[in-house]
Amino acid sequence: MISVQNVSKSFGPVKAIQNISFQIKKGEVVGFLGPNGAGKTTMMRLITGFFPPTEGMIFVDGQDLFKSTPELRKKLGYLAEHNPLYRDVTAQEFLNYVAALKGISFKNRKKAVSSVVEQCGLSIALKRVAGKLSKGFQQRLGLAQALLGDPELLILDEPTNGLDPQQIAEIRNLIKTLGQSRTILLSTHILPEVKATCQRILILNQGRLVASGSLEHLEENLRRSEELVVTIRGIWRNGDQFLRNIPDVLEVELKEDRNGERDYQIRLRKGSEFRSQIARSIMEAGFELLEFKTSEWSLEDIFMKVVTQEVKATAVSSETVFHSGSGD
Amino acid sequence: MSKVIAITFREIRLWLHTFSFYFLIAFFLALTGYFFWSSLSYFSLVSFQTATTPAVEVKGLNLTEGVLGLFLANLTVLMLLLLPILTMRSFSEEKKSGTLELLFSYPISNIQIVAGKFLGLLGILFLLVLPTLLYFFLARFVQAHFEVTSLLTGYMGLLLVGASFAALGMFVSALTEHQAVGAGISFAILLFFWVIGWVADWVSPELGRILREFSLVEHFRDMTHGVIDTKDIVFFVLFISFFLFATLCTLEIRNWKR
Repeated sequence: MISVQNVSKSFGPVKAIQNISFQIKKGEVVGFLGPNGAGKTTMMRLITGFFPPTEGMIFVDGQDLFKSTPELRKKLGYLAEHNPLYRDVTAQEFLNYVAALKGISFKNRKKAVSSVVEQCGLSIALKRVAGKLSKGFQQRLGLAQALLGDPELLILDEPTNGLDPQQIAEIRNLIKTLGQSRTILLSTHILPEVKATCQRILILNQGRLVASGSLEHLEENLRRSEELVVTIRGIWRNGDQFLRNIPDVLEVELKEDRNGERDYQIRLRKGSEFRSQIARSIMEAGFELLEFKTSEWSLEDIFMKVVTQEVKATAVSSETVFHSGSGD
Repeated sequence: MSKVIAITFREIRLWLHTFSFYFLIAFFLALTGYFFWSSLSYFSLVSFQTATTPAVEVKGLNLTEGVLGLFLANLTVLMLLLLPILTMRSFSEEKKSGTLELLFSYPISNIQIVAGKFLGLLGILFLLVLPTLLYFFLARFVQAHFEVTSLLTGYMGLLLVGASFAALGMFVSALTEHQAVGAGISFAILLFFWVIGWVADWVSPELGRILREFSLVEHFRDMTHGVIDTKDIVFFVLFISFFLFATLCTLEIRNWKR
């Protein structure tokens, strides 16, 4: 559906997008994730044809967006950042206008409008002036205008921006339903949003694509991250040293010190063969084992990791090293 | 084409939904009504005097020269003031609110956007100017019969001048997202094209001729007297086309910058 090939975009000296390539298949729901200023909006504007890339090519449905006629945009529904609307007309007038601009014939206009109104749950707001609607309804109206003309591809720039939790949940559900029959590309800096709605995640940082893949795939790539957290208690002289000598200890953290009786939290690489061994050696040394758990990496952790350190390939290689070492 | 019409109607409706538009129309009609009444009264006074004093011979004393020409000239000065206000909105507002980005995401070409907006402005211009035709109808009740043909050419000229103002105003509006700035700049440019011919008699004949050709007033003057010169029509059409093209370029410019 979308093919982005080595795309860069500069605004004068500012490089907003640097050599990004990715593909989005028909029917996928893909999330752009990144901190503010990562280039999400620029990337979306490039895909909607708002401006052309400095370098590279963008194909929508196999056609070059900047060489084809505006008719190609019929396949595209766009909810722009901050959801711009004609605020001085009623929701109904607004949708009728958009339907006309999207080339829906006068005969079918009423049907098309009522269909998106139903999908977005807008019927009670139809007669009200768009600018005076609540933010949730305005967002629905923004989605409704994008949906008019039944485009195959929806591009939603921060669709839940500035909504309250209930409205966010509603919009997410709506996006989920829409995603059943469409290709959707949405951007957000809110992590649970991607988790809730997207099948695939593209993480952008400072204009670069730093990671991409499904949530499971990203977690898989960061398997090193799957760790054991062990909390132990005991009295010893050089406890830190002892703990570090246990194979595969990544990190030792002193939690509490009560007159020599110390609580430590240690992070270990996960490996089923080791679990019992670790537990035994701790017990043999005369410590109490307080807690033994696997730490799950949340999307936040992945995001922070990827964005702050940009570990991509290294995660995989460290895992293989670990596995080869576990044999002896 | 239906897309262009949709934009046109949206532009017109936008103004019809604005209170200040009715204020502008009221102000415009009140003032032009006053102009009409005063020039007609003055004309009747002068013609009465000449009729009662046969010694004085007056040439070219007729309604077209004495009332229509004067009235239309006053009307254009008023339009010079009002049209920047009517055109300042067209692109600036959409730029500021971000709806222009929305417009760009729809399957419409920039030409359609410009055409729709310009036709919308013409519609507003019609709504503003055409009611003044009523004055000439009312004047029949005091036995002032205007020549229909000179009335038509005069109003055609008036609309051409108005369309030129609108094209220029729209161009300026496409350059800025601040409406007031747009109105100020388009007023300044319009004024420039208005007064450029004034110095034509003082400067060298060659330069004077060029300046006169660029003046909007010069080209309008003949039309107020019921004369249609293709040269004038061509001037207005070129003036309008130039600024429509310039507006189109300001929209296209984002595709040129890479």
